[in-house]
Amino acid sequence: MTVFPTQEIGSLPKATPETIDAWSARVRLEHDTPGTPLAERRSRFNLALLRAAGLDRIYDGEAHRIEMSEHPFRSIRGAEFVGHVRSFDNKYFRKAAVRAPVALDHPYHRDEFRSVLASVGSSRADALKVPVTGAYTLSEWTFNDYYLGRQPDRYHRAGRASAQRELVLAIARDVLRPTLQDLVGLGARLIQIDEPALGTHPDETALAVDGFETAVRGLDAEFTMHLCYSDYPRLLPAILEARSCREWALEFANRDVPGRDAYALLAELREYGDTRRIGLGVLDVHRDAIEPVALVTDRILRASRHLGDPDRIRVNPDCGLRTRSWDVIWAKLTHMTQGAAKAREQLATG
Amino acid sequence: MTTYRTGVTGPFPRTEALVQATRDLDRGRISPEAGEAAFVRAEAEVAAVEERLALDARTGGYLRWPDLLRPFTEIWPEVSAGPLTRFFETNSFYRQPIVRSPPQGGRGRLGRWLPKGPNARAILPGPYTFRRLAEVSYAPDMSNAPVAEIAAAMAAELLSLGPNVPPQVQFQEPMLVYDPPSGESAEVVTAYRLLADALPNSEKLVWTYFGDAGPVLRLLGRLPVEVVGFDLFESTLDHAEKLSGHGIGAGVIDSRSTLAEEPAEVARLVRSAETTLGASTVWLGPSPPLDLLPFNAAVEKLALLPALAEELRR
Repeated sequence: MTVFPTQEIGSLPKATPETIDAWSARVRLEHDTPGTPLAERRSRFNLALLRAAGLDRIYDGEAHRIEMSEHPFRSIRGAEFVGHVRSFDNKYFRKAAVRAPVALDHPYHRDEFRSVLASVGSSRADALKVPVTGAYTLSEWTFNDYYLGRQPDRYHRAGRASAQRELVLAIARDVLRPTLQDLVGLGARLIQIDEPALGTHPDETALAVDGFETAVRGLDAEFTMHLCYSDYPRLLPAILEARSCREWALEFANRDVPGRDAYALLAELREYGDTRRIGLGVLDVHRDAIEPVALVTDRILRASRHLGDPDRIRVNPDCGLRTRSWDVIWAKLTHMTQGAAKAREQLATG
Repeated sequence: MTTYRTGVTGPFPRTEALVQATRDLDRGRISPEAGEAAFVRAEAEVAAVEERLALDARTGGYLRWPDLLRPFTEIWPEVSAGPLTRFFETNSFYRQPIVRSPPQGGRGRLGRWLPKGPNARAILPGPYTFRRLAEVSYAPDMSNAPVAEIAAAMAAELLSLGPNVPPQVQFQEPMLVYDPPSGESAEVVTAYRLLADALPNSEKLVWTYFGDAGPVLRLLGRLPVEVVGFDLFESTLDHAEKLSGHGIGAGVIDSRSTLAEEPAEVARLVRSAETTLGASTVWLGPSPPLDLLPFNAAVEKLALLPALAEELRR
């Protein structure tokens, strides 16, 4: 197997029809027939773009989804949307409030996965990595009115913690697990559980791990976990108890600035004796500056030295590139794949 | 006889209309003039809410602040905006200030970020929180030495406002309870002396949230400010000593939930806190700030403040 395989990590912008038309030749878009619904066109366009950029593991940039928590909550009974909350600058997400016991209305990735599989062909199913929002993040990005309101001690920390535990495990058991079972039944082999909220309460890492294991344990697929913008050392060692996780996909480039080697964290993982793969973030997704190929290569090789095992590294952007323009996305991704190729060459020549 | 006053303790959420307008602005779908008009309308909406609820502090909502630290990140040339970084244990992010040399302050550019009027409350990052959230490249590790330097620069900015200094100035210090300073905390006390000297005629508040204020009440009581605020639902005050003349700020609206608080139950907790701490002035407000909620939910929850004040005055 090739070292330093490359992969996408999450969402891409919603391409307009004009964008798709303008880029179709460059990304070698096929089967873009008139009358195809726009979400479907976007999905095929994203797949084509990621392939043309040279990525090994791809998905469709979440073209069928609104947003990573809003999309699932549209299919979760017991919750309703209450408005937008700011994430940063002029970026927001629509937040739901849980007002009754949660339950799955219908598996919310079924149609999307079928569509993607049809686009790439079943022989390439192994190249697909399906991103799915984790139970802890779904819980954390929701107002937990129902389970909190049942707590006799709701005005104290212990009451809030009990309510949080109830919600995380209810989502994991009654919403996420049946969704994942459905995906596995459809042929999904590689599933990335997105837990960007895990870093928000490091003291709840064990709960997040319980949610992860409740959702995935025993299912016949390879599961990875994506974390970002978190104080990773504070999650250790509790996070390592997620035994069903085969890879940690982490954001690094955002914090890799002159004089501060973000990838040194991998040495800490090494000290814990953790031998799982690393999805290595080498592109800062919140800045337009294009990482030079040499910088990508340097980041990969630096990470390899810290980790002590280049075979365990997969190369990806820090997170989804949905806030960047298509020109920037293309430049960043092609530099990423070129940087990975250079890293392979340098590794081979010592 | 205890005096109860009400006010918002941080940014309002943006209205749904402003959310849409700022998205449109970023995508070039509306002009900068239309974007500015959307901000003005949203600020008027916030002012109307503060007026309708007869709040004793008026903030204008701080809708233009990208994050708690950004004004200083933008106006101090010694500081630049660094990586996007998670803001405590929330799903919000800030640009980490990169401080390359001690900021000088005093350039008179803070005024446009602050509300005006007889009940205006300036809400600024506290110097300890600013230092801990920043990357101070000239200071070793997490040394607290720069805290006083940052406070001196903030004091210079406040002095440069001249007669336009708001009558209330609140310093946000979540880090004081999230990760308190060790030892005597002399740098923090010194920092607040500098700020107090620059604000002889303003009511000064230090507001904490995202943690338990119980363990740091002694430090808070040493600060030369009129009011120390804390999250009533996070703080353990069982073994607290009385404060020496400070009023307290009670964070009584939980911005992490859309579930409404019950005035009678919250009043019981407030009375317990004021008795324990010996406070004769109590500011009632949200804790943490309201911008963790959508706008409509925030407005609904704010209705607690006048109801609670009335309950407490009975």
